[in-house]
This record gives sequence, structure tokens and C-alpha cells, in this order.
Amino acid sequence: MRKIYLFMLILLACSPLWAQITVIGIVTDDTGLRVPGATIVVKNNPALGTITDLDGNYSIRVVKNAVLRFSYIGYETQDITIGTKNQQLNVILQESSQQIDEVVVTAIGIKQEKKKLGYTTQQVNTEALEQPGTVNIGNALSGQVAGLTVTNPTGLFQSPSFSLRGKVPLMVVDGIPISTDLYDISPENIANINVLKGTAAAALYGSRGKDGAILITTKTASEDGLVVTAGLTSMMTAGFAVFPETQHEYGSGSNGKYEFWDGADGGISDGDMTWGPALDGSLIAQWNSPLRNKETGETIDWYGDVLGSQYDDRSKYERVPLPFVQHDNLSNFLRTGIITKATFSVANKTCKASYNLVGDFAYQRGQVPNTEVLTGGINFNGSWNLSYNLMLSAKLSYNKVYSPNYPRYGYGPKNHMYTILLWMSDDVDVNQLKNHLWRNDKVGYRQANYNYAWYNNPYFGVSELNEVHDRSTTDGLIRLNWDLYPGLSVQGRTSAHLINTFADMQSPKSYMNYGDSRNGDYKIWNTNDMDVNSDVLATWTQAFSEDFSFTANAGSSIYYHRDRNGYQQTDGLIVPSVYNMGNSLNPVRTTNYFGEHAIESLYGSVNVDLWNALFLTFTGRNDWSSTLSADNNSYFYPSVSASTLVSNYIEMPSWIDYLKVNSAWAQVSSDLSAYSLSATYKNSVLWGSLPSVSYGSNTMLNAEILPQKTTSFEVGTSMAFLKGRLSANLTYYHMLDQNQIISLPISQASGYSSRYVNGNEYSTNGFEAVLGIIPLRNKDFTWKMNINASTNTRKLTKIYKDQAKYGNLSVGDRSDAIYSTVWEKSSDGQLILDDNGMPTRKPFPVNVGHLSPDVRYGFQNEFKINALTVNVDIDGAIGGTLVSRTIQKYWWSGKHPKSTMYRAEEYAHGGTPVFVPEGVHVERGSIQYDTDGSILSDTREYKPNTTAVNIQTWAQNYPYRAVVTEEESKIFANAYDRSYMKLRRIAISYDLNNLLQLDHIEKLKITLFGNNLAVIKNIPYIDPDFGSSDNDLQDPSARYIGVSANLKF
Amino acid sequence: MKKNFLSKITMGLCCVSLWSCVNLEEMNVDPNNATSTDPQLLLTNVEYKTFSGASKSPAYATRQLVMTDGENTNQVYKWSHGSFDVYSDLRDVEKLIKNAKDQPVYSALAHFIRAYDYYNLTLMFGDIPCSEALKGETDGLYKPRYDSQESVLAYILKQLEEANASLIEHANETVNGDIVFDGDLMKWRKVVNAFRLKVLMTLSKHSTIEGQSVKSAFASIVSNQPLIQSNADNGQLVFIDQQDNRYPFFNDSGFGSGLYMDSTYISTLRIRKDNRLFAFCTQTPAAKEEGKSIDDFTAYDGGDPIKPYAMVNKKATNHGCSKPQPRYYQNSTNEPLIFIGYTEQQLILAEAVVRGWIAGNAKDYYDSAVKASFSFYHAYATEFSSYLTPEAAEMYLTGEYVHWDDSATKEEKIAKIVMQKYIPSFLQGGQWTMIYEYHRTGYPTYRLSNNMTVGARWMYPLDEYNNNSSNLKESLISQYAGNDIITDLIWCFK
Repeated sequence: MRKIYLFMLILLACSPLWAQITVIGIVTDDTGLRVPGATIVVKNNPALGTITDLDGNYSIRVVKNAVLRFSYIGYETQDITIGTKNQQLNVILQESSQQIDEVVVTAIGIKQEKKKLGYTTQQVNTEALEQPGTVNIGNALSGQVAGLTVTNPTGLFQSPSFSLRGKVPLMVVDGIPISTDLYDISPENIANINVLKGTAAAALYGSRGKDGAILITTKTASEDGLVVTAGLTSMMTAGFAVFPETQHEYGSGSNGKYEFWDGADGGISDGDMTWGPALDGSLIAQWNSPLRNKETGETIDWYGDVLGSQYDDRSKYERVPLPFVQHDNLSNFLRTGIITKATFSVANKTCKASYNLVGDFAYQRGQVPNTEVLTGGINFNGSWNLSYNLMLSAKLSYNKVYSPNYPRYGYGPKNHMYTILLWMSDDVDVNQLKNHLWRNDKVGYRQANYNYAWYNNPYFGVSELNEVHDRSTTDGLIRLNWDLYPGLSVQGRTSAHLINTFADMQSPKSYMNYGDSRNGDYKIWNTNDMDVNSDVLATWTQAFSEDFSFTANAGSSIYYHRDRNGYQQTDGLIVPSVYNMGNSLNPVRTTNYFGEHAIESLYGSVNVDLWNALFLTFTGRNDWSSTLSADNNSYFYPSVSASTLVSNYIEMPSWIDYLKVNSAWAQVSSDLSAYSLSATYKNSVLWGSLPSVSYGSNTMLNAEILPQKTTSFEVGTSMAFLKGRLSANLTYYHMLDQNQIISLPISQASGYSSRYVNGNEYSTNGFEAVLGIIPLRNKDFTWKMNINASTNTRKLTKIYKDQAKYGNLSVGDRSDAIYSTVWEKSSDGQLILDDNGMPTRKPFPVNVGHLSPDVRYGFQNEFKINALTVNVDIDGAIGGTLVSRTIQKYWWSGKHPKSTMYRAEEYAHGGTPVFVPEGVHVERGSIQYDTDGSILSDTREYKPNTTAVNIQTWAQNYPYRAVVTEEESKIFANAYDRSYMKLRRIAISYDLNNLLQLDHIEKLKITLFGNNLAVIKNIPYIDPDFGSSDNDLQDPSARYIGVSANLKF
Repeated sequence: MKKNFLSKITMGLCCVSLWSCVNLEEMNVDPNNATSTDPQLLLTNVEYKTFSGASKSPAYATRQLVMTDGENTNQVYKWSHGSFDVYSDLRDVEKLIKNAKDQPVYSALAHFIRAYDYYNLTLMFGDIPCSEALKGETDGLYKPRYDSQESVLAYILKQLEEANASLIEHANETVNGDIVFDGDLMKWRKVVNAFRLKVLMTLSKHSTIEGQSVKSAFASIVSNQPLIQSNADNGQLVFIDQQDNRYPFFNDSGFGSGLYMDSTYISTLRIRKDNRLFAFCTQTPAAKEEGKSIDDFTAYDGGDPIKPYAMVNKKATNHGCSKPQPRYYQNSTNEPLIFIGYTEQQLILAEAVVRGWIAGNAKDYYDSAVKASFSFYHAYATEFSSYLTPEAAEMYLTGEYVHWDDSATKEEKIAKIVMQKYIPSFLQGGQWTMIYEYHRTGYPTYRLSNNMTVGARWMYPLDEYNNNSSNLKESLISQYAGNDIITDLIWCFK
């Protein structure tokens, strides 16, 4: 820290004292409407600037006689020379052809006019950010940006994930790259999000930005004087966009029979499955049946099994049968989810200093009982004009994410959906489970449940097993800007991003989880992550003539990451429900980890403007990474991009506003994670008191590994027609990933299953289109449409050392090809059945499709009817394949809505099978495979199948144990086309103050909104917007409706 | 040059501006893990990985368990690719040998474990990579060639011979971290030699291996080397009630649904009046309700392994099927897993007498094997100890299908010997031994439906097809005319 002060002092001492003036004013359009978000910059120093607030107000400090440039998309840019005094300057912007004078934030915080960009960026519609209606801002980005895919998991505290042109982009907040799940970033504190799509766009971020970047800029005070705002949002779940249907006709058991004794096959098929008797009210012994003494006839209320009690004697006791009836368990289990958010901000701006303080708090009550997440934070952004040319800015924010308990997902008995949706039958009443968590003779020791082999009582699971997540994120940033000379400035910046997380898991006795003790368990995780980024950046802007100007940037930075964590775990608990390491029955297990990673960098860029029509940008960056060997740890990324305004030098018809063509080329590299160069001896099993170690892992490390390389090229065009009524941005890109750091599969007999090498080549082709249409525009009514679409295909074009295969993939395969187990079929595609009428799995996996959709699209509408604004957002995908685990398990368990067929007939005929599957039997002959799985010879001859098969047996094999596509069978398919279209959002906003005209309130905006409203899709039962697979199962996709009020004083 | 120059500029810039200088190389030294180790730490892990695993799959294939809530591929002999995962465990065995340069006695144990793993591998597939295996890190051999099964078995015998010799030479050295015998090297010698006998008996269809006489090698071990003398010398892992140290099926959910005893296994024990049945499985629920006594053999039944599983389930839902004893999934230590024990060794010796490989009394070997097995369950299935006393064993050995008859044919004798290997193989170590015994001797006979053949081997792993295809192809051509079919016999059983 001492060095920072020293640096500041030096800078202060050097600063010449030039006078500055303040200009304030209002920007309006030619119809008199105020223009928010208009850009005001100093003409010869575009890095110095501001934007208008929501009401078109601005305020800026500039040197005397400066030229201010006012610009806004869709309007003519205006240059106005300022005098020598503080003044108010109101500007009326004229609608125009030149929509591209907008200034956007680009890599490492450099502001650029959009027309000069040779690569593609897309700013997120600020309306979408202002009315997020989500706790996590990530969800609000869905469908907004061409090429950016956002997944929307349906569960509480499940974070969205991002994929930009098929790769994972870097998250950058106020110029600082960070890792975040976005729960610790307050949506209310975000001023603007810009997506840098290509490699060229983010090349200045080096290896971390190699896959593009999402730049988040937080709010700063933007208008003079004190501004106070407050907002309140409240929303709740209102039904579901997707609710998983199950059959409601049959209950627990197998082959139509069921009787509960111990929930582990001690009764009649009481350990598993929903293939039991019809839910017709027949009397059957169940888990909640009272116990009856066979001799005395006395009955005792009892819930659960009787293991270890005096009643565990079937010669003496029996269960009193109860009516076998249906219950809507999932609906009864889930409750209304609620989200409330409150936010305030205080901003002040004077000629000396400005600050913005934003506080926010959000409470989210999950649909799953006993789950909630609280987030809150306080964010301070301030800047001080230490002198006319020296500005100090600082940022400090503290955000808390706290959950006393949140739902557990994943495929296993901790997940409520695993139990309720897949395996628990409708005869079990979830409300009874709720009221009887413990067996009454073993409170604290044994749960009351309908099953003791595989599942937990779901209410016991959510109320007795708790997982705490307690995270504090602290961000600090200090920045010093020094305008050495008009056109020359230097900036120094240091930031720290600290994340401290405490997490635990409290498992009660008898809680069932694979691998963990069933004798009570307590686990603690303490993690501590720190990112430090420091950089220095010098900028020189010079206009030599009207026709030639340039900007040069040069900088250097260091990134340091530290990861420290510890883990402790009991092995059984002595006293029930006392969650403390001291209460461990057996020795406590602990592990800890320390990791460091640093990257040092030098970078520079030059922007050249020629004839105000041709714009060239060159960038270069060199990184030195700590995770590669000293000989290989330096790598260079060049990028070149060009943009030209064709309409500035070629005469265009009057209906063409402008035409821009741009192109970019870049090359990026990247490194490894820490400690990945040489193998070590890691702790392994502790046997009694004997410790042990194990060498390395199944991937052989490679100390000589080189950085990987991606070369990308893109070409695009932007154009506008009919005075901005129609605009289009089209981009084609190609990426070549070479020398990739891959984990190459090798013969396991070598001692390793894979090894790190530099190899393989992937080629990606993509296309993105953004269309803006204004079908209607007048003073009272405006309709704006924004349509975006993108497509992206990544193929494996070369394998390491020309090997024939890379895992299952061959050259020419899409990198997201799905290779799966399928059933044996005859050469003409008929299913081959064995003597029992059952299919056989093919021993070699087959390509059944690809994961990613072919096209992603978004469609945003904004209607402005006087002061009323209506937003309607739609997005979706076309193509791609989803192999659904939910559907496979539905069949196995007997909960699939179609699994009721043939059951009644079969059970009525004493279990004689009636269903004759379509297929053939091999009469004679055989098939031989080559070592690459291809057929060597096939001499098989067939006859059609006539064998009837037990429907339960068929359901548990054919649609469960291998992939069945829609073409193979409409009924039994478990792999579907992923296409869907979602009505993402409708929002209606109105400024009530237009009616109320309250004195002390400047604005009172009310918004009614709905999120995740409806979906049209191909795959049944699940929401394809959830993510790439449903292997971890998904919560029903809830619809949210809400209202928010935003006040400004 | 350029690199140096740029580095200097960076360093210069770093120091001039805000940043402290960072040594990038030093930063990447892993502080969490060691780069060298003592062999004892590796030994514990290697023994744990090799001897602690168990699987229910062989119990389905050998007609001991049936599955009623799905089709079990082992039960219907529809398995496909096997796994080479054991090679990953052998990585630590290689490191153990490397780290034991100054303590060669650890190498002796490592050689035994390597031989044990290779034996299991080669019996699963046939040829396997051996002479070029495990050289990925040291020699850059990522596509090892396959060695013929004959040479793999010869290599295994050599390894075991060396292990025995080394244990003699270093008999006074100390071994730590040994979770099997706590450093008792004499016991290790006995186990090594017993295992040599097992490997040689696997070759009973061949008189020689790489020109060496199988019979005389066997006889020489029996007369010159110490062998297992009782259950106390068993090569076995005794489990502890502590995380990761528990019996592998403890808390296994599978036992709670759809898993029942096989009727053919039950009847095998029932007609022999074999009290070990009570230690293996429960009475059927119907018999329990009727109040039948534990030693009433009619109280036990199971599912027919060749019927469609829905039919078997029907019998189970009618309370007609026994389940494995709860001790298998409710007792955290249950019983040790034996990888080579006294019972098996004595039966191998009995067979050797029958085959004329060694002189001796087959009956003594046979009887001692059965008595030892009874005594094992007497010790660990404590609830049923009273049925498994030495007297009960004596009584059993006089039974109609059990008693040793010196006048019986060689075939009959071998069938009897193998049966006594089969009965105590239930959920025990040794894994697929009883499938191999079936293909070697034809015993025990497994109930099969029409068109059903007992799987003899596994297809090579899919990864070998993808990553080592030319060597695999060459080996398949030399062994199985280019096919990879689970019903083809491996070399040693041909």
C-alpha cells in the first residue's frame, strides 16, 4: 500500500494547474422527449465523458474552450464548443442516419465510438437491466445478445451459465476480471452491460479474455446535486411454465402388487418403484398403517418401519390396511416462491467530487419448504477531482449471500425431485410425511418414511438436513487518472476481490445418502478466494488533421489469484442433531488446500482514424503465466481490426442511412491451472490409524506443455435504412483452435487413462444477426423490435498426431456430438429381440445427435404509448438433441404418464403379458465387428417378433437402458429435439407522477411484470431452457409475476 | 533474446509501478502434496485398493443372486466390455517398487500384488499388455503391445517366484503400513506360494507353460515352500468400523430392493444340508410367518435365474424368496474378504492329488477345506455360530453329496472339490473365480435356458478400441480369429 501513496504523491506533484469549468444541461430529441443514455465526450479526448441520466440530464467538467460531442444512437452527432464559464447547455438532437456514433466500453475500460470497432460488441438493452425481476442478473440476459447463450436453471440458488460463441466468457466488473456466480452482484447497481463477442474484442484481456467478455459497469453519480432513489420489488410464483406430469393411476409396488412392511422388500415389493396396484381405494397395508396385535386386536398408530422395535414380529403384529388412493404430492410439497427486493441509492455530484451509494437487499423464499436465500450489499463508488486534471476514484462494495438452507439438486436421495417426482408413488401422502418426520419410538435416531432402501422422507430431507451457505464478497478498487496534457493521460489502478465462504451440511441420523454415514454427519467447508489486479495504462490521443487522428494505449498489469480452503467432516455423530466436530463418533477427517496463480502482462493498442471513414485498430499483449514452465510461459496475442463507413465515401441512395463494414483478426493463447506440470503424492485412504498416499491422477501431466492457441477471424456489416426505422448488424466468424491443451485418451495399460498434450484442431463457424425495426414511431406511440439470432458449429478438424479417434470422436465430428449406447438393430433398422422378447445393447456407442441447438434467437418488443411502456421478450432455440434422464427414469420407475398402458389388461389376466413389441428375432447367422466398431460381416436372418412381453419389463429396459430417438419410437423416446420458444418477459411500466404530480417526488415509476411466462417446446415434461442436460433433474419451471416501484427524489 | 528483453521490461515496469515482483516459477510449486514418499505409505494404499473391493456381479453370474427389478446383464450373460481400471491401481505398485530401492522387501509385496492384478486381468480377457504395460510415464509407451496369455501367466509365475525368493532373503526386514498381515513376512510367503498353486492349477488343461512343466512346478512348491496352515494365515482384509474402512456392501441400498437369492444356489446347499446356508441368507418371509426354525432347510428358497425377472418378482411378492442375511449390508465390518485362503488352497491341493500332480491324501485336504470354511462363518456369522461348530462340519462331511469317496471317478472328485470352492464364494473376494472354474473344469453346472451360454470372458474395453486399436486388432486376430466375443474361451481354458 505504501507504494500506492508514493505513486499518488508523485503524480500530484507533477500536475500542472489548468482551470476547468462545469457544463450542465438537458438533452432532448426533436419531439421534446428527454433522451437518457446520450453520450457526451470531449471531442479530442473521448476517454473523458459522461452519459445523460434517465431524464436526459448531464453534467461534465471540462477544460475551457473544449469541444463537446453529443451523440446518441439514431440521432445526428453534434459538436459544440464551450466557452470559459460554467454554463447550462441544453441540446436538441436531430434524428439521423448516423446511428453508430454511440460510445461503448471496450476491453480494459477503453471507451470507443461504435463505428470505429472492427469487431462485434453488443450492448444489453438497459430496460432489461432496470426491470430485472430476478435475483441473479444473469437470467435477465437471456435472449438479449446474439451469440450469448444463457441457461436458466429452475431451482433456488442455481446460477445461470453463459456461453458466448460456444465458449465461456470472462466476467469483468468495472474493468476488473473476476469470477462470480452473479449472486454477489446487485442488479440495481449495474449501469450497463456490454458483451465483447470475439477474440479480437477481448484480446486485450489476454488469456482470460480469450473466449470473449461480459463487461459490467456499475453506477456512478451522473447528474449534479443530490439524487436519492428507492425501489421496491415484490414477486411470487404463479403456476408453472413447465410442470412435470406423471401418471396418477397406479401406486407403489411391482407387477400390480404391494404391501408395506419394512420399506426394504420385507413386505411385497416395498423397496422401490411405482408398478403396484391401481389407486382405486382398495385396502392395502401402508407405511402409515396402524399396527394391530393379532392376538388382542389392539391397534397402535405407527409411521414407518418397525425395525428394532417390539413390533418387529410378523407372527404377532400386522399392519391395518388403509385405502390405496392418489395424492398430488409434488404440488402439495411445493409452496409459493416469493422474492422481495429493496434498494436505495444516494448520489451526489459537485464540481469537486461525486459519489454514488447503492444499497440493496433481496429475500428469496424457495418453492421447496424450508429453503431461502438472502442477498444484500452496499456499494460505494466515488470520484474526486483532486485538481483539474487529476481524478481519484475509489470503489468499495460488500455483498453478502446467505442461505440457512437451500435445495439440493443432482441425481440422488438428497434431491426432493429425485424422490417425489421419480420414485415416490402417489399412494404415499406427502402431507403425512410432513407431519411424521421421526418414528415415534426413535425421535432423533430414525426417520419415519415409506421406504428404507433408497429414499429419504422428502420433508425429513428438507427440514432436518440443513446446508448453510454464507458468503461475503468484498471489492475494493482505487484508480488515479492523470491528464498529463490534452490528449495524454495515465491511469493507475489496483483492485482486490475477496470471497469468503462458510458452508456446512448437517445430516441427521438415518438420513440416507450414498457414501455418507447414515449415523449422522457434519461437514464444514471454509473457502477463501482472493483476486488482485493491478495495472497502469497510458493513453495518447492526437488529431493531426481532419483526416487523420490516432489513439494509442500502452499498459502493463499483474493478476494474482489465491485460493485457500479447508474441509472437515465427522464420521457419525454421538449425540443426535448436535452438529459439531467434537461430536464425531469416529475420527474427524480434514483436508486443506492452498493455491496460487499469477499472470504478468504488457499490452498496447493503436487506433487510427483516416478520413473519418476508415478506422484501424492494432492490439498486442504478452502474458507471462506462473502455471507453465519457465521456457514456455510467455505468449503473445496480436489482433487487428478495421472498420470503414462505406457510406462516407460512396454515394448511397437516400433510403440508406449508413453502411459500415468491419473485419477483425486475432490470436489468443491460454495457460493451465496451478500445479499442473508434475505429479505428486496425494493423501489417500486412512486405514485405522495408518495414513497412505497415491501417486498422481489418471491424467499424466506434461511439464513441457505449451500454451494453446486460437486464431479467429470475423467480418461484419452494420447498416441502417429509412432514418433508423430499420437497422441490421450481421457478423460471420471463424475460429481455429490449435495446439489445444487436451487430455488425450491413451491405453489405460500405460498406467494412465489420458495425458496432457498440445494437439487437436477445432474449427468453429458462426453467424450472428441483429435486426432493429421500428414499425411505428410517433409522438404517442412507438413500437421498437429487436431481433437477434445466432448459429455456431464447432467441429473437430484434426486429431493429435493424426490419430484415428479422439475418445469417441473422429475427424469431422461436431465437438458436441453425442455418442450413446443404442439397441442392436437389423441392417434395415428393425429392433432385434432375444428369446424373451428383450432388446440387446449394441457394444459400441453411436452418434445420436449433437448437444447444442442449431440456432438461438431472441425477439424483444418495446411499445411506448405516451408514458406507458410495455416490453414483451421472447427467446428460444431450434435444433440440438436432449437425452433426458428424467424420461428414462420415469419409465424405469413406472411414473411415466404413458407407462399405464397394458397394465390393467395384464393384471386382469394374472400377469400374462399382452404387449407384443415391434421387432425381429435372429433366426440364424451372426455379426462381426471390426476393432473400430464397424461391421465386418453380417449374416443374420430374421423373423418378426410375436412374443408378448411383460410391460413393466419392457419399460424398464427399452426406453431406459439405451437411447431411443423420436424416429425410433414416438411412445418410448427418451431423446428429443431441443427446440423451444419461451415468452420470457412481459413488463408494463408507468410513471405515476404523471398523474399525481407530487412535489417532492421527481418520479414514481410502477412496473408490473411477469417472467418465464410460457414455453412452446418439443420435449415433454422438462424445460429445455434449463441447460444442456437434465442429468441432475430439474425443479418445475415456475412462472413469476411481480410489481416494482421506483422512486426518485 | 527477445523473451529476455521483454521479461526485463515487464520486471522493470512492475517494480517501477505499483507491483511487487513475483517469482512465477516458485509460485507453481505445489505446497499441498509431497514429491517423494516412504514406501510404507504407498503399500497401505496399494493393499487397500487391491483387496477391499467386492462386487455383486459375480454372484449373479454364478447363480447365487437374482435380480427382480430389472434385467441383470450378468445373470443373463449379456455383459460386454470389461475394464482396464486395474492398470491405474498398478501405477502405485510401480511407484512402490521404485521407492523401495533401499527396502527391497516392499518390492516383494509389490511383485505379489502386480502378479495378483495381472492374473485377474488376463483371466478376464485373454492376452493383455504386460511387457510394455505401465511404461507411459517412464518410456512414453502409450500404446502397449499385447502379450499372449501364456507369456503373461509365465511372467506372473516368475514374479511370484521372485517375491518368494525376496521374502526369504529379506525375512528379517521390517514392513510397515501392511494392513493385511501387519508386517508378518512369513504369512506373506505362505500366501505367495498358495497363490502360485492357484495360478498353476488354472493351467490344468495345459501340461506345460513356456516349456516348463506345470505339474512339476506345482509339486516343487508343495514340497519346498511353506503354505497356508489355517484360517489364521488367510490372505484376507479385515474391515474396521471407520470411514472408508468398512465392509464394501455396508449400507448398500441394492440389498433393499429387487435382490433375492437364486433358487439353484439354495437347492445346492439344501440337498447337502449345508448349515452355511443360514449364514448366507434369511428364511423366506412365508416360512418366517409360519414360524419355521432356522435349521429347517425348507424355510429357504429363491428365484429361478432363467425366468423373466417379472416372473421371479412374482414369487418374491408371494413371500417365496430368501434374501441375503442383513449382516451383509447392516454390519459395518461383517466378514473379511479373502483373496487367497486356506479353504481354497486345500481344495487346490486335493485336486492336485486327484490329478496325480502330487502324492497325498485328497480326503484330508478336502475335509480340512470344508472344516476351515465352517470355522470362518462360525467366527463371523456369530448369530448362527451354533450351527457352524466343528461338530456340524464333521457331520456335514458325512452327508450324501458331500462325503469324500476315494473310489469315485476323477470327474466326480473334481466336481465335489469345485463345489466346495463354489459354496463359500458368496459375496467373497476372488471375484470371478467360479466363472473361471466352470470353464476350466465344467463345474459347478449353472442353470441355463436354451441358447444361453455362460460368458467366458469380457470384450476388451472400449477405450482400447479407441486408443490402442492396432495392437488390440493384432491380438484379437491371434487369439479369436479377430472376434471379440464373450463366449470365446481364453487360451488357458482351451
